[in-house]
Amino acid sequence: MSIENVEVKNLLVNDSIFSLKNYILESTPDPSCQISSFHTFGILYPVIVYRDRKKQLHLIDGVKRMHHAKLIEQKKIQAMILPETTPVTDIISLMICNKRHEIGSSIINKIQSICFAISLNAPEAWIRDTLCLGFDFKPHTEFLRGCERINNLPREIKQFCHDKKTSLKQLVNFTYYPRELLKTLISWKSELQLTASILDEIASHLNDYLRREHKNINGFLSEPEVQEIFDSSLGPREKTEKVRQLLYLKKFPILSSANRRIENMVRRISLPKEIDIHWDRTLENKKIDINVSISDPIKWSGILTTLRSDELKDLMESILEEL
Amino acid sequence: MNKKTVNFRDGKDELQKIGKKGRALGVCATFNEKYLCCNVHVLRSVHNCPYQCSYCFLQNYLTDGATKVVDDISELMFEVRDIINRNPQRLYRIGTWELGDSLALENSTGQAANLIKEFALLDNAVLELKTKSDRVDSILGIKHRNRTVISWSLNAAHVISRDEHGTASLEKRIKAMQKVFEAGYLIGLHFDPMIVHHDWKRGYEELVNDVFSVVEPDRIAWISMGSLRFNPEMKKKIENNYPDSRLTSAEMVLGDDAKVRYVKPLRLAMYHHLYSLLQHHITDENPVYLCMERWDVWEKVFGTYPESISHLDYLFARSLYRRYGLGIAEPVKIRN
Ligand code: SF4
Repeated sequence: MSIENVEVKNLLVNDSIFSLKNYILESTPDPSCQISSFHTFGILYPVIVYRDRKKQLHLIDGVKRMHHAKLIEQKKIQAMILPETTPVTDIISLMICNKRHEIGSSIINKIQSICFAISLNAPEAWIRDTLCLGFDFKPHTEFLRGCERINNLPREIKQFCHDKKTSLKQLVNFTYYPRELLKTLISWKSELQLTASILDEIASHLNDYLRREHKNINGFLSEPEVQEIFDSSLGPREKTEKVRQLLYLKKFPILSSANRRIENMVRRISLPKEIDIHWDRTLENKKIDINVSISDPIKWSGILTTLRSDELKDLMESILEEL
Repeated sequence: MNKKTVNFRDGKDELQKIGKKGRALGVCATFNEKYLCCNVHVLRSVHNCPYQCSYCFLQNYLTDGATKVVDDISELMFEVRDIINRNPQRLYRIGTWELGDSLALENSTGQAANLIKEFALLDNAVLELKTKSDRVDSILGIKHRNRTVISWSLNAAHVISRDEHGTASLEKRIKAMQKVFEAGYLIGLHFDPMIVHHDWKRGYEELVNDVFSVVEPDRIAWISMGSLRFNPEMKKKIENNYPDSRLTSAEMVLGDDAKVRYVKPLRLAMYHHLYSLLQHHITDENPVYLCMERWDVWEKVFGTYPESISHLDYLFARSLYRRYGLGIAEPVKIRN
């Protein structure tokens, strides 16, 4: 290992084989604080680079220093040069160690750093035993294939997952949805109030609906009820609820109409507010729960009269018939 | 670290003959008290299957290697005898299909033929070989003494071609069924899993007509109807393994047995339709049952339901005794 003064223009930064720019996501890129420290002290430490077989220099550590050097049109920069023979696993370990705060800040970043190691052809056994176990993931080949699928998610989704600190389960879920669908959904980010679980629910229902009806996303977007929601002046929270309700109706048309019929039956007999009727909205269990909540004993006899009424008995029969 | 295969398909092309390890006879794994189970016993003699049905639970279950067939028939039969001899009054129905297809590998293993010969010697057990294949030629000449029921898992031709990859076409299954019928075997019909698809009513109508063009009801030991169901975590697996399949996009809900299935009105519509088709061909003597369904669904479809799982077991035994003399005596109904 040597420290040399190298030409800034000869150093590969974005094109470095060790560039993390496509892997590690940052929450709020804010270079200002770093820049001001450069202004005060200049560049204090050498950057770290790798010299490959063709003598090309790949930046390993020091993106911001390089950025500053270019900004002030500095011709040369001090660089610690790792020779060609440096094991790739050592370089990855060094990089992960340097970036441990960013990497540790989200599951997606941990997965992305595993994918970074895969992209550099690091030995699979090392990735499993060192990286997977180090990040508390399962050290399985199948898990690595899952990481690659997550890495292939659209960039906007990955950024969203980083910002929202999305769980591994939800990340895996997202990999099962078509890219186009995900891209459309994430483009609704400014109009709807999306959390990772709401995004997952919307994607799941919409994906099922589109597949069942042989439709594409544009077909869905041109449906009048959908346009009505997006053209409305509702706020993001209300719009989100409307979209979720609409998709539930589309995903569960039979259930929705059966439940609506039951709700209408219940509404028709106008029960006192002390009596509540519950049924299994999945329609699976053929049973009804009747809750009575009472705060004034005077009302008890009136409630008993309602409970004994033929009207309520008929209602029970009709609901049970639906279930 | 254990060897983990990356893909459930990996083990499907590699056949291994293995000895019996641990207990092989048990009750059907789908047993759950809110749903009526037919109380069949299962002999785990096959692990994995060369076919690739998109809904198959094996893609979530067996991911650890080759297709394995137990070739130690005497050990298997020792365990079977040990269990059935403890209760000689009871007629045991024993299937070999829990973790695979009973006949798909028959040409390479001869396992089913050996089991048929062994069960022919038993008085209180019936072997059920359930298949989606047409591999029946090697078993046609065996003296089975009515102790083996050859069953087919049947579906509309469209479902077979779209979701039961590698299995015999409906036409081939029907031809094989005819051969087995002519060889004097009892036949089981499993319309399971029924799957909603475009024009499903017609699909199932054609299926029923095809089946009854080759078999007579008096040789049909039992008929089951069931609808598509799977563990929730299977949804993504199916979508990943079979991107063209639309199975998982249907309107399904999670049941108390932790499986998703079609919403009840849809299941009822399918059962009503199929049962009304079957009624044109069968008699009151043919036991028809629902696989893993709720009591109220039984009532809506058949107008009645068994009092318990053991009552259903009794109804099977009584039918098989009265119609084919299976079992050592007319079974006695047990009070619950
Ligand atoms: S035939 Fe049965 S065991 Fe084989 S793949 Fe199909 S469902 Fe699975």
